[in-house]
Amino acid sequence: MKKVSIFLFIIIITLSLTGCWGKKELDEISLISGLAIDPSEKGYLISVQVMVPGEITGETRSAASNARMFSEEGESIFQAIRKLTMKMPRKAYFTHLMVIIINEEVAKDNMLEIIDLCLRDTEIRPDVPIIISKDDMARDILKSVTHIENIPANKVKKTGTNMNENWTATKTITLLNLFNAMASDGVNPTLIGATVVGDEKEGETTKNVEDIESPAMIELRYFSVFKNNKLIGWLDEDESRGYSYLIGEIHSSIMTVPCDEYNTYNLEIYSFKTKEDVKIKEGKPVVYIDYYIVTNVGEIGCSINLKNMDEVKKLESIFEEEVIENSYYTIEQLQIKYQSDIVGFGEMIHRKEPKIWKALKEDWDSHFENLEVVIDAKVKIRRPGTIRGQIIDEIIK
Amino acid sequence: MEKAKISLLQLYTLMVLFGLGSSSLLGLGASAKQDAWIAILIGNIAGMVLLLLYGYIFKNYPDSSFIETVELVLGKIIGRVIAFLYIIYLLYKATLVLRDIMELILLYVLTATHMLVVGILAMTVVLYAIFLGIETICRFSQIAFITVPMKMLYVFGAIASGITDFNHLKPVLENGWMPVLNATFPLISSFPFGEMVVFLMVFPYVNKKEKAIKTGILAIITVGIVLTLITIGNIITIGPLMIELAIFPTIQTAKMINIMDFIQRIEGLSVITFLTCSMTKTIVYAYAASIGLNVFFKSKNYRYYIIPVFLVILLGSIYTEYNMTVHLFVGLRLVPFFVNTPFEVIIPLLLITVIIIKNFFKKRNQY
Amino acid sequence: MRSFKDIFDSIKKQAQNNQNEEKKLLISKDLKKNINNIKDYLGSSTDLILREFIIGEKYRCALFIIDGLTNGVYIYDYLLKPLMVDVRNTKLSVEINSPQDLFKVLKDRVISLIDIKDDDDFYQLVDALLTGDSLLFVDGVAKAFIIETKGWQDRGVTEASSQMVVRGPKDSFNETLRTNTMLIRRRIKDPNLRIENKTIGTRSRTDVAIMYIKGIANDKVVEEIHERLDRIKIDAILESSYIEQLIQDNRFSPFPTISNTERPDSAAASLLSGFVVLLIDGTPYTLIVPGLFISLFHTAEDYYHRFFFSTMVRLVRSFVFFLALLTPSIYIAITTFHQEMLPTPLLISISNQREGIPFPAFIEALLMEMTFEILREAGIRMPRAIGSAITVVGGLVLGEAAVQAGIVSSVMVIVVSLTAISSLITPAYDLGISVRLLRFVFMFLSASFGLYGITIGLLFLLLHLCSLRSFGIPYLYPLAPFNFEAFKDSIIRQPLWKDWKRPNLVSHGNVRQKPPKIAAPKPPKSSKEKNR
Repeated sequence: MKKVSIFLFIIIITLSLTGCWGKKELDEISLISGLAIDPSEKGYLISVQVMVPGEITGETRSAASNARMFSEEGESIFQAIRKLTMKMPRKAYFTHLMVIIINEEVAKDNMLEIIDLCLRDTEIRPDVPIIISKDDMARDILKSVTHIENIPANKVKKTGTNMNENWTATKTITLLNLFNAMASDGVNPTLIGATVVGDEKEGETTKNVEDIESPAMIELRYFSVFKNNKLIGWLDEDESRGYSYLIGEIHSSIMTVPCDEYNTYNLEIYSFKTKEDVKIKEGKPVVYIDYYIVTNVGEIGCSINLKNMDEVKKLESIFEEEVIENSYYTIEQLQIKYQSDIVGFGEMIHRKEPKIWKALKEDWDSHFENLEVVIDAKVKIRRPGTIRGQIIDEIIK
Repeated sequence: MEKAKISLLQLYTLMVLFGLGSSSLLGLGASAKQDAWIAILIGNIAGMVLLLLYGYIFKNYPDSSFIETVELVLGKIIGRVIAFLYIIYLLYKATLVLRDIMELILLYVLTATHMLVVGILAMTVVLYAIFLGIETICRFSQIAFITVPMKMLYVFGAIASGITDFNHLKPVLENGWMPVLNATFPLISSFPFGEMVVFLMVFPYVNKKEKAIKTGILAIITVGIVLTLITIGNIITIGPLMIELAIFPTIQTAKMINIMDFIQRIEGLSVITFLTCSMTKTIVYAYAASIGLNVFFKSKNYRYYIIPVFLVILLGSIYTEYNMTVHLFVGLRLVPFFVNTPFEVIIPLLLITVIIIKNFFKKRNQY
Repeated sequence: MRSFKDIFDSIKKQAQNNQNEEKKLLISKDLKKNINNIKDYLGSSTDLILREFIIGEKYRCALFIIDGLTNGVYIYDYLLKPLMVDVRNTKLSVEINSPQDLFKVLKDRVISLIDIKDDDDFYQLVDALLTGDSLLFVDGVAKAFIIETKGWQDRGVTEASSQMVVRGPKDSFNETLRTNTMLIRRRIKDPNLRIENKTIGTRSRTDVAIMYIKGIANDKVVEEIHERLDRIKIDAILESSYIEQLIQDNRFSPFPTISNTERPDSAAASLLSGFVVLLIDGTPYTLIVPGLFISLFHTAEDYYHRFFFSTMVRLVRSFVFFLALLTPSIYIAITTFHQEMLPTPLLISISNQREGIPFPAFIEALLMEMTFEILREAGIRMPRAIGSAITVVGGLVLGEAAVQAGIVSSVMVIVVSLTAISSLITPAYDLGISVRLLRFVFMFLSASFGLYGITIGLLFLLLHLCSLRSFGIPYLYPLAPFNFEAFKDSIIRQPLWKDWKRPNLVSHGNVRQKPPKIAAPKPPKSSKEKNR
């Protein structure tokens, strides 16, 4: 007993003395919050955003920016990051990365290297959102300082989440989502595009925060379309909306239909459910998509009597038509304009009819063009808000 | 053999922890893609059949450890050769598990430390455990059993984070039964289920021997259920494609968990819960090996062999395999065919045949 | 130079001599000789009092007492008065012709004290004298009386000082063995309650009482205790801890394998669960054998509150045990190895505070923990009047100033205070000590290997705890080996009406209550029903 315990004790003591290899004190590392990848003549231009803790939570906060930017060029991304690390005074630490922004041009060229690097790295987490910079340099988006959020990268991330929850046209896509979409045969990936609205130069300075109305804001609006793992185009606003319906990624957002020249009906979506089904018709798959939307009345711009059940039914059917039309339009655009299945109809067929899918798998993109999709929608208005009757009618009367 | 008695409950917890060690970490049956969980369930049934086979051997020789049994059944020369091969098998298996532990730690916890240091630390625990004996190991397993429900919590955590997609499980049996069966045999049936052959070294200690096999079956069912749940959790969280790529898919799943921005980044904790099971597995192997050596050389005390076993496992785990690629290739491709199948299926079947023949002659002589 | 062996041999010889002395030595008939013998043997100690007197003009007697150990009332009213005054006025119906007759008469008819016996062994007599009995010699008789007249100043039964309760009996043991047995006997009037005495310590001659309830306590444990107590060869027992250290199973373990209490109610509860209680004269702390790890988390009060609350409190205690053990080490591990484990805002906040701290996190933690230990020790040793002031002021001022000066971060102060409070929450003070000690080991491990080191440490700790036994009972019982009946009263507490069985390894598995339908009390039959 004694001998063994002494033996163990000596082992542990000696090992402890050799330990401490992986040690990194908090004041020896730089927390990186954002990574931007732009093209350059050498290959890639990498920019990282480093958080400055003292400016974010410190008692003595100066007017200085909360974050610093470092940039470096390199032939590969990994090489550039390594070069960058040498430039920086502290060790770069990627575990708290909040967003990866990729330049449109890079996305049009080659996405695979980025995916490989990010998934292989132990520090970068698989749930980091990925965003494409539309029309701007990726680093410019990272650079823009905005209200409320202390860290620019956090701003980008939060805007994404917020819009995802309250507005239709976005969906945060993480590294893992992107990988799964790219690796699957039956779906093409899509990413959100970010643009700086307003004066970019102003956005870089802290003046942006000091003014009440900030001149530069980050906007996340449009979905990109990928084909063969390369970016080929962007959905416009209507298409983006239709896409959101199709993938069922809508939480508490609103639907708007014009009722006359100036006014609109607005419904607030309470729950949005999509049911998919695939049936075989004459040896060809047909995809059926049923929406079941529960809503509340948000704003009524025209005269309609919500006490009357028929009127309510009418309102519901207006919206049903709108949703169906919008979806058909998006599918048509995807089939004709892009020939890219970003909705994942292929995956639906794969799941439901794996036997048919085997034949279609090889050349799905061309099969997709001729795919028949049938869409049905059921909108249900649950309650008219706090008002029972018709406000506009009361006032006009 | 030690003078010790363990209860059925202790046997159960030890077997469950053993079964979940390292197997719950690696993507078992990843080649069956989204049907990996079916492969595990089939492997579970195969495991039960195997355990019944081992049970038959145990029933005939309830008081001798497996190494002795082999010698008794197969005779002096062949028996001793095979018995020695079994000891090497136990040691080799221990090196594989230890290697898993080291890779896990080096990948997720101590990225800059030397492998030897990680190995020595893990092995000191193993050494201490063997020194304390099987009763302590069993009591340890009872407390460590708490990590089993914790593993399931990760699955629920993933669902609670809203990152799961049950569509990943579809389509079921896309390419028919063949890929599933290919994944099951021999990989899953042997790892972790067939590995239960090592418990033939432990069964003699059980206080109610007639119920030992029943308890074992129960343990195997538990292992099967937990593994299935973990695999389903992995599939619905990170998808079958990622499971095939990732080295430790379960940790990858734990990485994704984020409940209300508060419970997040828990992969460090998950490493610890999984480490406990793997550690138990190494302990069982190392203990069986040192008991085996003791029985083989007919010495007084198994504790003489602790230090040699310590060194063999430690150095073996570092130097038998060149890198992670080799380790995974060897562990998941070669070992099932060339190590597990002979030691866990063929030799036990051989033993059973000999036992049946012997019993037959014995009966005839009686009349 | 004398080798150890020589010293050992000489000690052995001495012990043999002592044993020789313990052989019987008869006293003589001659009173003078006896008096001189005793005086020689005890030296001219000033508290030895001799009173010589004559009964019936003929028979010389001598009374020995040790001053301070005897009860004055007994001596004056029931010993000296009957012997010297009442004897003259009483007419005895028996003729007294010889000293032997007198001896018999004295015992049977004169001395009105309850415990009186005669002995002819010199050493027995002296032993009795030194424990507070009086010795009465009669000239011409080769025997002497041992008369129980014990009575000395004691503290009285006061409120418990270290194991306090809000609800529950307030009395506590004191330094007198007899009072302590009384306190237990008053609670358990069971005829099966056994008290067996032993005298331990060649010089201190300390009384040790082994208490158990026959039929409930595990006989093997009782036997084992007797055996181990007999094995003790020490000169003095000054506190129950001496016994504890000499009879416990694993002497190198940081954990106490024998628990103690100063509360009669918890001692009684232990007895009723089948434990054996060792009462040691001279200390209010009694030992409870076998000691289980889980009982270190129990207080008497757990049973005096409703079970919901008690269960919650027990769970909190178990959690806090880990908090006390691991908080500094986890802090070190996370801030130096695993920054990825913290949510971003928290990491930024901690990172900001660490900015400009001159020490690595490990040294910082070590520094603060050491400071706390110093303050704590100072707080206990200081004269009571200023002790608490020093602790509070020292802690606050030092902490605040150190943070202001940028020597330690404020998170570290939070961590240290959290551990300090946590280590005080465990009911058993012994456990708190082991936790304090182990905390430093864990800090060391985590500074070297991060979370992996902590895990390895925990596994070691768990294995060690699993390997411990206390008098044959596994230390972690009922957790491992797991026993569901006993588990219901471990880290949780079942309701009292469900508490049917005693822990089966400790006791004989008797039924505590009959499991009948008293479980759910029924409402009283209403008068209406009766009328019907």
